[in-house]
Amino acid sequence: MANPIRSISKPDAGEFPPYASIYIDLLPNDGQVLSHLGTNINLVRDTVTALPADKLATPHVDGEWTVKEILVHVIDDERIYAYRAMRFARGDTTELPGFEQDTYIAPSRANERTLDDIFAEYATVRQATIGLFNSFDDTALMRSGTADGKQATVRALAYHIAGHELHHLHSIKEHYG
Amino acid sequence: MLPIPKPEVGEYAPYTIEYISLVPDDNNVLEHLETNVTEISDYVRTLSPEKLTTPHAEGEWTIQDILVHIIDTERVFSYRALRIARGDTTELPGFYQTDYAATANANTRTLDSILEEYVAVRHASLSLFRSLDESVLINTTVASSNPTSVRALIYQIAGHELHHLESIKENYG
Repeated sequence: MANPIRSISKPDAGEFPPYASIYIDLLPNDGQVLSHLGTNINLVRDTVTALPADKLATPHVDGEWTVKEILVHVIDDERIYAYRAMRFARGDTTELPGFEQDTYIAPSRANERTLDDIFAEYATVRQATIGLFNSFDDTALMRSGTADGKQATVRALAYHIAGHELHHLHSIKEHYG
Repeated sequence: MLPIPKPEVGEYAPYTIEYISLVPDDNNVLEHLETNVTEISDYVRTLSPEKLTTPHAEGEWTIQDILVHIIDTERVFSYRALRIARGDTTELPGFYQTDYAATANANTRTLDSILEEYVAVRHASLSLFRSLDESVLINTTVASSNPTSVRALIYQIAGHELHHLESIKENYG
């Protein structure tokens, strides 16, 4: 990226709902969440492209998501969290709706898509996310809002996005590796 | 590229026809989204930093305010398109664009930073729209109090950008 990447300190407890610590705790406390977002997508790509093709569209147990479904879920989730971050950062206090992630899977038709196509989309969404958080000043990063009935700061959402990806990377390795 | 016909009456808030009608009736809205971002970038790059950050009249938005407003709006509309395309029927909230311009601090950013984000958001929108199956383009849900289809949102993004490009040229050209 042409523009320098800013550092963003890890959120304190109380800036995000307690359940989100399973994601946020996965990030190092180095303030480099935007750099991690820039490189972790490569970790995911390397891990997934090393898997046999027949493992990508077949669930490891009946009723679980396939690897391709997980990838599109990560992308959808990032689009939604980045949207929330933008609204919170602008000082918008409208309560934002949650989403039922399980209902998004079937309509996403992830298993019919090629891995190249999914990763091309993943990369565009990641660049848009980094561009967003990189544009915020310190005041915007500390603003907060409510989505799905839970309050969070903007910087917590940056860490949430990055941690959610790592969480799924770990689960892909565990179940499909 | 996936041809996408224009939305029909009932698929969008009536006032947005002002935007939708600016887009050519050739089903090539994705191609227009791809080329129009280059056109607007090329145009604003010819303007001086002073012109980019000074309102043409008291109380009006500067060009940089307008650019960030286009980006923010595209983020909101493509988010709606994603949810509606996934069959989510949750009613989606509107947003107050005037408040956003006040907190976006667009005039303290560099033009390069704004255009880099603009291009990134456009690519993310296009990758979403290209991934969609034709069957979901007419999915419709209430957003900002009006029934809105996926394809209407795509045309609104394109038309909204053209509307602002025209107004920039008119007021600052």
